[in-house]
Amino acid sequence: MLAINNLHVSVGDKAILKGLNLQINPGEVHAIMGPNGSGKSTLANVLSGRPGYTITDGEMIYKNQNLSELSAEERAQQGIFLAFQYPVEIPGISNVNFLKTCVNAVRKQRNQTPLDAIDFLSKVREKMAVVDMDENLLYRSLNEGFSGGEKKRNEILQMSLLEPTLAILDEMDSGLDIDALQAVSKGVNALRDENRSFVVITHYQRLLTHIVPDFVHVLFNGQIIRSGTIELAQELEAQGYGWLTENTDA
Amino acid sequence: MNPLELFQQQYEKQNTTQNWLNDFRQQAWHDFQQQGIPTLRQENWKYSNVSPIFKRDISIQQAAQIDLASIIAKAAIENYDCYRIVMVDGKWIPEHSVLPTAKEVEIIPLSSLSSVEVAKVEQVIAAGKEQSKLHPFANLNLALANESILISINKSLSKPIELLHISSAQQADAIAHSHQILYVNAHAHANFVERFISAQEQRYVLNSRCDILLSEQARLTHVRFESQSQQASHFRFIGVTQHRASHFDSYAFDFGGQFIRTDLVTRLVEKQAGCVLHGVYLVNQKQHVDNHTFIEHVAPECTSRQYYKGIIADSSRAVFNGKVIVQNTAQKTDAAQKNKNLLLSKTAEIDAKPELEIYADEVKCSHGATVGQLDEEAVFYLQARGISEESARSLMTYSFGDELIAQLPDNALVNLARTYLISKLPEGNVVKEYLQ
Repeated sequence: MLAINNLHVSVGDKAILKGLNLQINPGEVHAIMGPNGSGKSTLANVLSGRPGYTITDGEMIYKNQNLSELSAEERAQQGIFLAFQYPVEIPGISNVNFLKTCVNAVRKQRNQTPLDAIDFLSKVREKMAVVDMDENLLYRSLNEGFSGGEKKRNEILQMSLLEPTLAILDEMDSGLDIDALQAVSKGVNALRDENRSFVVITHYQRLLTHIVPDFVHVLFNGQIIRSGTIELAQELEAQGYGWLTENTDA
Repeated sequence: MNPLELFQQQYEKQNTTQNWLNDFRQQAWHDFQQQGIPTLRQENWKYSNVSPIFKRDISIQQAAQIDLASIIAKAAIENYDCYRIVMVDGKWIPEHSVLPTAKEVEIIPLSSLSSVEVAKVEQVIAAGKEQSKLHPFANLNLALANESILISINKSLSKPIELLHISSAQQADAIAHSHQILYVNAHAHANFVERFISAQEQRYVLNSRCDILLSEQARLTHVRFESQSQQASHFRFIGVTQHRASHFDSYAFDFGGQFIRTDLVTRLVEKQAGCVLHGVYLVNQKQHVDNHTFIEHVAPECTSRQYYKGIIADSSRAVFNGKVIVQNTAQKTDAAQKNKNLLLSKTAEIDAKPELEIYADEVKCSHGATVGQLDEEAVFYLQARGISEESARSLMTYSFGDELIAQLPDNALVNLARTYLISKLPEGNVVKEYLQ
C-alpha cells in the first residue's frame, strides 16, 4: 500500500532523510524508532504533506499514486491520517462542528452521503467512549485548553471517525500519563484491521507494549539501519541506541 | 460643476420658514466652508483619500422611481419581528413604514415640528455641536439635508425598529444627504437596527448623519449594517450625547461599499453613563473602510468599552482610529479599547491608531491594537484532516469575525451578520456546512 523508495528529503539546505526505504502492506503496524534528529518527524511530515520539505530524490508511492503530486488535503481524503505530536489549538472553531465537517468532507470524497447532526452525534459518542473521552470536550473550541492527554484522545477520536487507510502516529505517547496512554492505545487497537496500516513513531519501547507492532525499524541519520520485530525494540530498550549506531557509518 | 459650487447652489436654494433651523444650517454651512473637503494633509483624513470621489462630475440625487415594495420584501430580516422606518435617499417614506403608536414612537419631519419638539431637536444638535464642528461632511449634511426627521422614542419599545436606508442608485455620481435625529426619553429602552442597502450596483455618494440623545437612564442598542453597492461611497456621522446612567450599546458591521468612512462620536456628559462600541469590518478587492471613533468622558464615574475587529483581504485597506478623551472633570473613569486585525494577503493594509488623552488622575484606561495573520500551523492541521486550504482559511477567518457577531442580542441579527460574513469568504458553503 505504501512504498517509499530511496527517499531523500531536505529542509532548506539541510538533508534529513538520506535514502529511506520502507514497504508497508495493508493491515501492518510498523514502528519507527530512533534517536533525536534521526528524521522520524520529517518522515511523518513529508508523508502527510506539510509544507517546508523538499524531496531531492526518491519517491513515495501510495495506492499506486505518487504522493508528492497530492496536496495535504488530497492525501487526507485518500485515507492518510497524521496524528500530530503537538495538536494545534484553534480557538473559535467548535470541536464537534469541526469533526463533522472533516467527516463529511471525506465521505463526500468517497461518494457517501453526509451525516446530519443527530447521526453524527451518536457516532461521535460511541467513538469517544472507546478512548474514555469526556463529552464536554466536544462543545469546546478545538483543542483549546485541552490537557496533553485530552489532545491525544482528540487525535485518536478524529482518526476513528475518519477511518483512514494509513495512519501515522507521530510520538503518540509524548506527554501522556499511564491512564491516557492506555486509553489512546485502546483507541488505536480498536481500529486495527486487515485493510488499515499504521506507522507508529516513538522514542520509547513502552508504547509498543500497548500497540504491538508487526515490524520495528530503527531510523538513524536519515536512513533505516535495522529492521526487526518487537524483540528489536526490547533490545534497544536494554542497550540504548549506541549499540546499533556505533556500528553504522553515518 | 465643481462640487463646492454645486453645494453652494444647493445651500442657497434651501428655503424654510423655520428660523431656528436656518440658524443651524447657516452655522453648519459656515463651518463646512472653513473646512472644505478634507485632504490627506489633515490628521483625521490622512489614511483616507476622498479627492478622487470629488473630482468626478457630482450631481444632486433626484427623486427616483424604484420598486420599493419588492426591495423591502427582499431585504426583510428573517425571523425578526420589528417595526420599520423606510428612508430612500434620505427621504422618509411613511407609506412603506410600519410603526407603533405615537405613545411609543413619533416621527416628525423637521419642517413640521411643534415648539416643544423644536426644543428637543435644538437640545440634541447643540449637545453634539463641539464635536460635529470638526467633521466637514457632518456639517455639509446639516446644511443641505432637507428631509430630516425627528424620531422620538417616548417609552420603551415593544419591538425593535429597523431603520432601512435605501439608496436608489439610479444616477451615477449623485450625492444624497440623509439626516435623522433620535431622541430617547428618560428610562426608555430601544433596539435599533440600521441597514444601508442599494437598489442596484452603482457609483454614488451617500452622506448620512444621525444625532442621538439618550436621556437619563435611557438604553439604546444600535446595530448598523453597511451593505451598499461595492461602488458606493458613504460618509457617516453618528453623534451621541449620554445623560445620567444611560447606556449605549453599538454594533457596526461594515461589509459593503467601496469607500466607507464612519465617525462615531459619543459624549458621556453625566455620571454613571456607559457605552460599548463593537465593530466588525471585512473588506476585500479594493474596498476602503475607515472607522473613526471618539469617546469623550466629561462626567465622572462613566464607563466606556471599544472592541473592533477587522478582516482585510486582497488589496483592500482599513483604518481604525479609536480616540478617548478623559476630561479633568471625569474622575473614576473606566475606559478600555481593543482593536484586532487579520491581514489575509500581502497587499492588504491596515492603519490602526489608538489615541488616549487623559486629564484626570483617578482613572483606569487601557488600549491595544494588534495586527496578525492566520496561523499556518492551524491551516495545515485542518488540511491534514481533508479540508481544502481555501476552506481552512475561510473557517478560521470566519471564527475570527464571529467572536463579536455571537454577542449580538438577537439570534435573527446574529444570523444576518453571519450570512453577510460568509458571503464574503471564499468556499463560504463549507463554512455554512460547518455551522449546521
